[in-house]
Amino acid sequence: MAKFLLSFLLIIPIFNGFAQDHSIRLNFNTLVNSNDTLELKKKYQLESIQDGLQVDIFKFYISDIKFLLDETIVASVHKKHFLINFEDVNSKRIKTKISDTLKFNKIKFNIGIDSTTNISGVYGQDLDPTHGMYWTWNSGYINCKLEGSSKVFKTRKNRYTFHLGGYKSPFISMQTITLEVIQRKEIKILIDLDDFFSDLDPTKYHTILSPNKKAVAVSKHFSTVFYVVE
Amino acid sequence: MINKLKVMIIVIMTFCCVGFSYLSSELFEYPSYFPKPVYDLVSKPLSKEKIELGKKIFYDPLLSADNSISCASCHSSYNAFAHTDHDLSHGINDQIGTRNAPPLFNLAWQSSFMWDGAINHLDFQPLAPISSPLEMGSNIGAVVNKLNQHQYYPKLFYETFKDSVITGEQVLLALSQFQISLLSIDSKYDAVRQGVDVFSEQEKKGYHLFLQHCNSCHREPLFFENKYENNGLKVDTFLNDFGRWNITKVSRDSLKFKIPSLRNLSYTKPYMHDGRFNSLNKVLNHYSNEVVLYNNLAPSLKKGITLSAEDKVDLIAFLLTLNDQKFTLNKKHKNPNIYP
Repeated sequence: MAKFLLSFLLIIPIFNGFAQDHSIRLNFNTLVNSNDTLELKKKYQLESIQDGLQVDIFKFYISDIKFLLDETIVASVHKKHFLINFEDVNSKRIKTKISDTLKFNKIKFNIGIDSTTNISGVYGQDLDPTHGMYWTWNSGYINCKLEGSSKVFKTRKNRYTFHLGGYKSPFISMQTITLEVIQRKEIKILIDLDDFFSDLDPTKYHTILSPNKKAVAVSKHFSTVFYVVE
Repeated sequence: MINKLKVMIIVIMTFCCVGFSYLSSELFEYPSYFPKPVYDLVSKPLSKEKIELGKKIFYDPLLSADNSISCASCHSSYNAFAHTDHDLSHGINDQIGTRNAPPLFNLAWQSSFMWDGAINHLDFQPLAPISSPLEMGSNIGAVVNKLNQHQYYPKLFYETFKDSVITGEQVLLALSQFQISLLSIDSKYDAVRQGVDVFSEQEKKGYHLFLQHCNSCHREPLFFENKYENNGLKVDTFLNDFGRWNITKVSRDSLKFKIPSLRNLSYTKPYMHDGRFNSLNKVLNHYSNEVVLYNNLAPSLKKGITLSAEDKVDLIAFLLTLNDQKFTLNKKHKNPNIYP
């Protein structure tokens, strides 16, 4: 009997291990210059920006992740909001509790925080205001923070500062995107910063710190540089 | 059939009891003529521990960059948590802010905060003064770090939230709970509403004038509205504060400010967003003689308010019935002396 119990106890962690191994993961990474993975505070020569570009801060919210088979939602990720922060390696990986046997061919998620969450008071974990992703002088989450420098920006110290947010009409910054994916356990999502900066007019867009027209425009543009790596 | 009826009566009575205990729990008892609170007390119910913890934080200057200014520096319990005799409040390094510190009470009924409504929820309100370089000049991350390294707070937070690390969420929730516990419901007006006191003849006349001229914005029984109006004040060309417009950037919101409560006026002077009037007489003179006719002036002010000298005295007599000394002298709300 004791032997039986012992073997049973040994099996439990193995099963647990299986359960973890067989769940879908999302991996967010940033591409600069077609093949490099982003390192913060390092200067890159980009195709579009020969003079070089540096990223100092890059973090954004992903929320309401859903898996779809054609047009039907087949699974939703239990946790609603994730802060992806390139200073924190762990935050770039989202472990779901969804089995990799799930049949799906699309994923859909929001970049940013929905209006209901924005007006419902304080939350903890990824939404805790200590993450610096909440405006203190005009309530609302900052959906995306991207800061750094490049000589193409004719600002003080050539800085660019994008604090993109806003949940109230007419300046709603949250974007919803759907990406086609091949069913697999680890889904790699790349944010192509080369594309982001090459299609951005640095004379017009360089410093955005509040919900406004420019924040909405840059948020839309940001949502177009998410790709799935096959 | 009778049995069925009995069951129904029991069910109904149970519901009534639940509803009643929610409305008049020991921690949050308010009069039956008050509307339902805006703050979600069902998903975030008040607890004695959280209120006490929030009070300690409220009175603690560690919230500011140089440990010199607490919430209570500008929100004093003796003044209904306003800053009497300061038109504009001051922060770290003797810097002067741009607005008059509003009193704090009956906040569970308030849906937006600050004179321009910049803040959309009571939980987030403290972030503004903590971060403003003219007020506390710090940030919530730094405050949470200080609290985590503090001699006493980690234990207090653990006892309250059962979590080994202090988070921003916990700090803000505790502050909300203390502020919600600041109920001002014991004025003479309330006693009259409850039938245990009566207005004098003069107060009665004043009450009728109030209903005629003021109640459309400062609506009883709370005497404020969760709305913004342009009340015809000349622009202070030094401050150039355009109120709600600063937030929405919509021209129709220019010079609109939040409608403040008229409760506890004796303790909360000076008046208006920039504290420009230091007496109720001056406020009434403004409304009867000095209103600037802006395009977006509050509708109720467009036709003008005519008040004789006698009317003004009567109206002020009524307004003074909104003072709540039981609230301003309530020992429960005073500095709990954090450090033993």
